Amino acid sequence: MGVDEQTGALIAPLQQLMDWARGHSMWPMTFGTACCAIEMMSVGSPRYDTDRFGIFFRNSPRQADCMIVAGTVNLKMAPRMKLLYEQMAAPKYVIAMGACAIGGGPFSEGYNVVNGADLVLPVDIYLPGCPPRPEALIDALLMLMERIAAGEPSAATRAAMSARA
Amino acid sequence: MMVAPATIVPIAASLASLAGVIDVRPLGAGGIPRVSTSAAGVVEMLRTLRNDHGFADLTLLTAEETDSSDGVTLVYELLRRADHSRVVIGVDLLDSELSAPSVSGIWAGAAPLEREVYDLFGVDFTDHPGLSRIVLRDDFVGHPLRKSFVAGETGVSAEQVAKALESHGDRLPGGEVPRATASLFAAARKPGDPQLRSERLILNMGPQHPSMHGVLHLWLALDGEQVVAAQPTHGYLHRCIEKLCESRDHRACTALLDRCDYVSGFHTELAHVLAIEELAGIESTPKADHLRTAMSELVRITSHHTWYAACGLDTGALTPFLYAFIDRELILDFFEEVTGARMMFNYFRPGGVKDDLPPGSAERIIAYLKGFTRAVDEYEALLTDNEIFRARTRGVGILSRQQITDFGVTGPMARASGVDIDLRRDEPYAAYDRIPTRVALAEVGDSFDRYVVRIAEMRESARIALAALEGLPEGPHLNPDVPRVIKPPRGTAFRWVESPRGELGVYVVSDGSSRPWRLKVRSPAFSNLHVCGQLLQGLRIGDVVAVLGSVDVVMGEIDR
Repeated sequence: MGVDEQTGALIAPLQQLMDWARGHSMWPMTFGTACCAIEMMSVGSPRYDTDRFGIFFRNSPRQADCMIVAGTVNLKMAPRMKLLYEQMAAPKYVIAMGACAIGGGPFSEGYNVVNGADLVLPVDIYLPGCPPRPEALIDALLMLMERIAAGEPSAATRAAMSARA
Repeated sequence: MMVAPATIVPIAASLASLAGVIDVRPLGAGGIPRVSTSAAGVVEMLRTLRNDHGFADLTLLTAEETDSSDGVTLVYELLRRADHSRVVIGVDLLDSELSAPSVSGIWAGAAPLEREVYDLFGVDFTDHPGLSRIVLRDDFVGHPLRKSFVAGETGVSAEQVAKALESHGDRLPGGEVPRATASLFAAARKPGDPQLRSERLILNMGPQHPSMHGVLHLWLALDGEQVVAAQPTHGYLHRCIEKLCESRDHRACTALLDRCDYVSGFHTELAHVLAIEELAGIESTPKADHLRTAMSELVRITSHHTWYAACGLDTGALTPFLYAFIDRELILDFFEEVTGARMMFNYFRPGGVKDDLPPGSAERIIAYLKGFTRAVDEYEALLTDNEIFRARTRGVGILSRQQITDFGVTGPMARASGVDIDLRRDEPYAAYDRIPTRVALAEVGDSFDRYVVRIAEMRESARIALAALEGLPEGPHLNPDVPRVIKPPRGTAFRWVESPRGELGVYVVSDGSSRPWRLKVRSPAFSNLHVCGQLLQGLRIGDVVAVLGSVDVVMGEIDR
C-alpha cells in the first residue's frame, strides 16, 4: 500500500484492500455444538467483548466468514455441519475449537464421534483446550485475522490449489 | 394421584403379594426394594402400583446387560411423592426374545425413553406409538450399549465418516421414514384451513438455529402460522458417555460426567459420587458436604444465568445476556480459584472433595454472595415488568399437572405449575438437611411463571450457598480412609440430586471391579424436552421460541 503524494489518497491493489478489510471484520457463525459453545458465548460477553476487534457473531451461514466448530461432532451432526459450511460464501475459514473438534477429545474412542472436524471440513486454526478459555479463542480469531490481512489463502483455497496441481 | 398420608402402607410388605412377582430383594445398600417380574406382567404391575399404591411417577426407564451377557434387564423406577418411597422393577429378557410391552399407555413420557432403550440395547417394545432410533442416526447398524458391540480401538473410522456425509441419516436403511416421524409427516400432508386456504408444510428448526439452545432439532408441521404437530429430534450431541464410562475407573468417570450437563457440572458429579459412596460404603466428611452444597448452589446460579441470557435473547432482548454474563464470569472466577477450572471441575471425589478452599476464598465468595440480591434485582428490572417480555410469555405454553406426571417433568418447570417438589427438601443429600431449602412455586405454569420460579431460585441458591460457607465446619475435606482403587462390591446404587433442570439421577451397576458395569444418567432435561411435543401444539410459530427459552434444555445432558 502507498499514499499518493499529491492527493493524499491511499493506493493499493484491490486484492490487498479487500484482504485488509476482511482481516479487520471477522463475522463468525453462531454454531455451537457442545460445551465449547458456552465459552464461545462468554467471548461475546462484556468481559471479553469481541466487538472491539470487529468480531460479530452472525446467525446465518450466508452472512458469516468463519465457522467456529465449538464442540464434539458426531455422525449425525457431520452432514449438517458440512451443509452449513457449504452455505457460507467464500472466502471462508474454519476454527476447530477444543479437543473434540481437533481429534475427538475425551470421546475419541466412542462409536458415534467423528475424530476431528478436519475429517469433514478444511480447518484453518486448531485451538486446543477442553474447553479453551475465552482468551484462547480471542487469540485464535486474531491469529486468523492477521493471516487474512496478510493475504494468506484459507485452508479451503490451499486444498483446492493442491488438488488442481 | 396423591395418596393421603394415613393410607400409606410401607411398600416392601405389600410388594410380594402383587400379581406376577418373581422375587423381591433390596437393591444395593440404599434400601430400595427391587421386584422382578416377567415381560408379560410388567404393564399390569406398573398400572397396579400407579393406581392402587400411589406410585404416580415413572422416574427411570432404562436397561442393563445381564451378568452373563445372555440378555437385557429392563429397569423401571417408580416414586411415591407422598412419603418419597421408591420401588424398582426389573424385567429380564433373553436374547432369543428381546421384546417387552410398551408402558407408554400409562405414561406418555415413557415413549421417548423406550425409544432410547431400543436405540442403545435393541429391545423391541410392542404397542409402541413410534418405535425408532432416538439419539443415533436411523441408518446406524447395531445397538452400542450391548457388551458384544465393539466400536474398534480408535472409535469411528474415516470410512464411516465419509459414508455418514453422504446422507443426513434420517431414513431407515431401506429408505423408509422412521416410525417416530411418520405421524408428523401424516399431519403435514392433511389439507390446510379451508377458510384461510392455507397449505400445510414441515419446518425444520435446528440443529443450527440461534434459539435452539445448542443442537436441538424441531420438526414442526405448520398450518400457516399455527403449529399442528411438533416433534423434538436430538442426538446431534450423542457422544457415547455411558459406554465410555464402562471402560473407565469409577473416579475417571467424573471427567466425562462433567461434560454431560456442561452448564452445571457439579450436579452430575455429585449424583455419581453419592452413588459410588453408597456402593462402596464410603462416608463423606462434614466439611465436604458443605463445600458440595455451596458449589452446587453456585453452579445453579451460573446455570440460571445462561438460561436467563438465552431466554432474553429468544424473546428479542440482548441486554439480559450482557448483564447475566458479567455476574457469571465473577462466579466462574471463584470456581477457577477453588477447582482450577471454569466449567469442567472434576472436583467432587468419593469421600469428599479434591481440594480444600484456598486461603481467603470463603471470605471472597461470602462477600460476593451478600451483594448478589442486588444483581438479581437488576435482572428483574430488565424483564419482569418489561411489557414486551410479558406479552410474549404470559399465558404461552401452559403446562398442566397431568402432562407433568405423564412425562416425568421435574425441576423449575414442574414448580412453575404449582407442583411442590424439590429433592433438596424432600430427599436431602450433602448438607441440605442442615440448611433448609425454601421451594419457589408459581401457579399458572406458563413461560412467564417458569421465568419467575428460576429468578426466585437464584436468590434462594445464593442464600443456601452463603449459609453453607458461613457454617463451614472444620476438619478434613476428604475422608482419609478412601482406598486408592475403589472396587465396590456387586450391587446397584441409584442416587438423585436436584439439578437446575430437575431431578438428575445416576444409576450405577457394579460387578465388583473398579469399573462400572452400567452407568446411566437420568436426564431431567430429556423429559422436560419431550413434553414440548405436546406443549407446542396449537401455538403460533413465534411462540415456539418463547416456550423453548423457558424450558432450559442442555443438549449434552439429553443426548449424553
